[in-house]
Amino acid sequence: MKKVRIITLIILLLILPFIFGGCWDKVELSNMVIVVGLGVDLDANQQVKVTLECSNITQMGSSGENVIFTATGDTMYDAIRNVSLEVNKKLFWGHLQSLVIGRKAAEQGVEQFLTLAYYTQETSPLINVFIAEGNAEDVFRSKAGVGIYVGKSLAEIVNNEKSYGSGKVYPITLEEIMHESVTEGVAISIPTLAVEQASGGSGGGGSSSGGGSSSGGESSSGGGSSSGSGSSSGGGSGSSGGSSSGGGVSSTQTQQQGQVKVSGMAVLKKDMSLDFMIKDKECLAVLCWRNLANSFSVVVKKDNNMINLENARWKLKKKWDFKDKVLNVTVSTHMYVVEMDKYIHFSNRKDLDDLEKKTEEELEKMLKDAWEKSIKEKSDYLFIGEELHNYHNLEWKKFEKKWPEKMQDFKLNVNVKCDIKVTREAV
Amino acid sequence: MTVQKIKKGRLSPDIDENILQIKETLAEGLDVVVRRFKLGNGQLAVAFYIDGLVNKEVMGLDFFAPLSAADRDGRWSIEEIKDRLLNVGDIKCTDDFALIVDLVLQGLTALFVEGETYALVMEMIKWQQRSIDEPNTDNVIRGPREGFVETLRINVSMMRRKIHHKDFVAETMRVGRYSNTDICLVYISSIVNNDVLAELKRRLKKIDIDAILDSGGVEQLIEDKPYSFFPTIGITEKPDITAAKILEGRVALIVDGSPIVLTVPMLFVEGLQSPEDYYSRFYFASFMRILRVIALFLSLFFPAIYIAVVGYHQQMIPISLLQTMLASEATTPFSTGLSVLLISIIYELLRESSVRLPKAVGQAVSIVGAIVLGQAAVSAGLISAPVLIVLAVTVTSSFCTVAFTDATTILRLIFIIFGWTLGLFGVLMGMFILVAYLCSVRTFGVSYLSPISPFNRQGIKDTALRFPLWELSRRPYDLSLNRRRMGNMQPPFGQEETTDEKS
Amino acid sequence: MAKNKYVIESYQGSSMVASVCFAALVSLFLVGYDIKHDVWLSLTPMILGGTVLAFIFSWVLKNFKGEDLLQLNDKAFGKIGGKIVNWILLFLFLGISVFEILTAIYMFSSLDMWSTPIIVYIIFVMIAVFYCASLGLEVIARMSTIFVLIIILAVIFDTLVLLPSFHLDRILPIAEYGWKGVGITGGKFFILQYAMLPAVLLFLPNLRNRADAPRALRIGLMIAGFYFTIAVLRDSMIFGDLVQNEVFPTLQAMRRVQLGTDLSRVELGGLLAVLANKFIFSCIGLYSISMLCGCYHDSKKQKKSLAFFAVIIAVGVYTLSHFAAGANDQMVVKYVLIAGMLILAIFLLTVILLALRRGLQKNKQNNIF
Repeated sequence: MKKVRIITLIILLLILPFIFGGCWDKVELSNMVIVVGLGVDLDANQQVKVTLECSNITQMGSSGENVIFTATGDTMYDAIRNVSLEVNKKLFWGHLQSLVIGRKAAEQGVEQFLTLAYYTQETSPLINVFIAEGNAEDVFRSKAGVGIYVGKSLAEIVNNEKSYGSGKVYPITLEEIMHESVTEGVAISIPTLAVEQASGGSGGGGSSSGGGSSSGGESSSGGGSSSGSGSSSGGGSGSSGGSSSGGGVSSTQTQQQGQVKVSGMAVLKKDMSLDFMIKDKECLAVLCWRNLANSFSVVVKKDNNMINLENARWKLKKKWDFKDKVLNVTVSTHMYVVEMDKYIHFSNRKDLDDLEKKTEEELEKMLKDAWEKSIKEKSDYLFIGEELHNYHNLEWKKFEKKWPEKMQDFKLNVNVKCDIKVTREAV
Repeated sequence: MTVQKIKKGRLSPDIDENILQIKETLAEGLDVVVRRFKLGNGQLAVAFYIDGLVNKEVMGLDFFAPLSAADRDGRWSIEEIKDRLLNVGDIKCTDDFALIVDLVLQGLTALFVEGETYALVMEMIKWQQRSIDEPNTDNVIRGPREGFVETLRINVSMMRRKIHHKDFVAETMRVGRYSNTDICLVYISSIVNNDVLAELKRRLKKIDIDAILDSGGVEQLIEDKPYSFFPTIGITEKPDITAAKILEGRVALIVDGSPIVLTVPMLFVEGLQSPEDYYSRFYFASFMRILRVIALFLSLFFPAIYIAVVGYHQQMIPISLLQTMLASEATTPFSTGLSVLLISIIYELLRESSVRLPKAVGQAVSIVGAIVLGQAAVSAGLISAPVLIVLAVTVTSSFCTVAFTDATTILRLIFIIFGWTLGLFGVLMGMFILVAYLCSVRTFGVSYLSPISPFNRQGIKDTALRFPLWELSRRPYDLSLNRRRMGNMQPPFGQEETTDEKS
Repeated sequence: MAKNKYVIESYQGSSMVASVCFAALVSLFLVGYDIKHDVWLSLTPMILGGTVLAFIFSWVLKNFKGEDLLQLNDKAFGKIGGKIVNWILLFLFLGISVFEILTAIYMFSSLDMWSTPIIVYIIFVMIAVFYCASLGLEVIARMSTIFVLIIILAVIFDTLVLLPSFHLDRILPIAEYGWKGVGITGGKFFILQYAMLPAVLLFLPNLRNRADAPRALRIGLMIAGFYFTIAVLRDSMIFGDLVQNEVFPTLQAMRRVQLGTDLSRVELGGLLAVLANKFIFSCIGLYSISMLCGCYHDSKKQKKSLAFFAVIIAVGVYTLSHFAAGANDQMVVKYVLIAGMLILAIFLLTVILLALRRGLQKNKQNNIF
């Protein structure tokens, strides 16, 4: 009897999977396409338009090419479902690298585009989020970095900023946004993207606020058609060569391939809609205020000599005096001299002291400007409220309701202590 | 059966009657020799033996020569022949006819002398046998190389040569209705766990079967869990391993005619041990042990986890790897699960064929297998390269734990089905059931997972890690009540000297 | 030769106690809904309550050596009353087991496997649980040792790979939502974690060395406390206020693992930890249920009752899965809390009655002398 029972159990266990395990959720690898980047735009009829950058690899050993699909729908999920009308495979979201939200969509509020990715098990909550200055679709139809996939390159660009970048942007992941959205008082800032047209060729001064990109957006918004914008040339020529006009080889659209760059940060309102954008120095000031600055450079003018300094250590401490309503900020920083117009032999401490003083003034001004702007814009994008909330909760409770406005009650007192060293082997 | 019928039969002084009785008992055979001859004094005698089992050279010199030269006036009594004439070492005197036939069938020679009711049975055994050489399994780089042969006596003597102690016991039992195979229980009486020994004897006595041709037959008949995938009785081909095992309190079962010796009981951890572990340095041995644990895990679960992850949880694969896998899967016609299953079965086919074939042909088969599996299948787009790599890793690791190769081969296929149909849920459930099953297994009253699951602090020193030899001062728990196997040793002798000098 | 199937070692007893407590982990965050990131503070009342319980259990184990819950109930409530109490406990245990298995199954559904019918999971889990429970107390005890080891290793692994995701400022400020909420949640924690603890009285008296029982219990509770502290603190440091939205925080946290390009998305680690403790909990639960119905030390009867209750649990889980909104259904959680409260109340009543009887007996003895 016992034997029979054991054998029955084994057979049952072996057969059950075949009967019941109908492989409902199974996906064959050959029936799968990896989505690397996701763009969201709002079109004229307030419909959500998604742009999917997918990885298309057909051969072993090849690095593949990116394929762009677009579709519109009432909501983001609806639009994504509509994409499947033109994709012959199952979209796989597990390796989504970056989520780009178009400016128009961001102005309506970004939260609705984030929750889907955050609460789906398949995606990673660590995807990078961006706001495009123009259309999100144009971003994916352009080139970014030296890689093939725009979504991947963008994520890499901002992540590199953490350790060896300009210090003017800072990556923010989906997870961080979700957390900051429930943190009281603070305003979230998200890196922005701008598309520079290759033929435009102007320097950074243009700041390309959607000018070039809007035309591209109109040309491609006709329908949900896809076009492969394969990078036929090797990725070596990253620095926007002038002769890349024939980039989109097989595409039917006559579209110029621009280069995407991370242009600055966009600050959101409390309701998660786009408030204003900040650039360059202002971004740096935010990072400095938030103690996130790792590597950045400061240019100081001294006797008609431009001296460039590289930051090595940054520590900002806030001290609140609630009685007199004073915020004392102490900064201690280490800097290295890396470049000079004319070579100065800093042979004595006095020269350096002078330089230090100049630098301190520069940094102080930068911090104060950011504070002023924060008060002016009525937006706590410097994350000052977070510290109040976390460490001075009792005081915080008093002006919790009207925080960013209450900032102006406080007097700012900045004290920068800069320690400069001369080195010859910087950069 | 025929032997039993005449069991009460005694010898008759009449030699012809005896010959008649022999011919009645033993069927007519080419090799049964009944040779009449006369002693030197003319007394009639008969030598009764099996051709091919006796040493004819010795027989001529030490048996026939002295007997035919034994001239004297009177009759030779059987005692005189035994004590004065024969030069053979081991002589028995008996009148039990059944016993005589029995012994002759074992290869001994019987001598009947006219007028005597007793016969002499002496040992002049020599048969064709393999010489002692290095066995195919249990290969070592460091350590003894001799292996067991098919002859029981030689095997026991090899064991005796390893353990010169009065407590070394080699008990013989006879099993098999027709084959009458000798089975020798080798153990050390002061170490062995008497419960295990008694249980083993009880089970051996219960065996009632036509023939035992190899120790494998005995193994299946005395196992606790004959349906189990995991072996509960250890096998080895080497005397040094056997000696080590009986010194830990196990019983070795040497079956005549088989070079494979069984050791009882076998614990799970033994599958992870190798004799070389004890001959090489402990950190290297420990490293190899950990590798083997990983290998066992991989050989059981790797294909199943691969299928589950690829089919259900693709996000767990890093993107660069996923891209390569996508590229190679894009051209293959079969689903991942089916291709893993297919390739596992094809591999087993290849293995089976190359093991059975003569060595020269076997190589050819394995070359064909390597080319067919390795290159043609991939380049023709039948099987994707990652699947092949998974199989290669699995198979390679399944050979790291030789004892479990049979178990892993079957269980792997079951887990593949689980992973294929239910993803990681299925694999994890299978894993839990396996753990539960292993916990429930007992072999000869000892739990299979012994030092791990009924946890034992001393025993754990010799499982996934092999502590330095001087730390293993106690025998495995449950196997022996006589726990201590070492005196107090403090091996870093160098330090000892320096402290002496200082003091 | 064959050892007694019902005798366990003291460390096995500890690991069984620990595994009975472990299973509540997933549910903890469900009841900590109101106080968001302050969930970890509620560990303190829970641990304090656990210490008190440990003393009560120790007293029972010390004063009634070798007597299991059935005998204790008989002693406290009389023959018939004891039987009634046993059956009440049985149904409460059934309810809690159903809830725990349901959450385990929902976890898999949430893992991108939501189109597989829930009945498939139920059948598989129940067959496996039935098989393991039918192997007997000794095997379950041994399994629980291995499982506790696996779970602790998995938790340590999870914590290590999640170290970069820790944000200390996410659990600040301390007690933002008030200490009252922390206390209430702590009470809920206490009930959830220790609801099944009276079940340990079914097997702890079977220790080889009976005097070890209180110590085994304390060690088991300590292991569970250690595990809870690490897991809850870790998850609230990772999720901060968002922890209230997470049903399976351990699993969700593992989505965040990103160590260079080598190690990412090891949900397997979280899965293993959670599923293993649910599984071993279910085995012990099923076994205790079959013991409570009186099929004790009779392996044939016991197997039958195990099969019967396995089917009942399977049906229960399937039915509940239709009513519950999901794994985070507050209604279901409320019922479980009530069931747990009832169990603990019944147990406390038993203890009080026992103490009174003992006191009476002592008085009588005193009178005699």
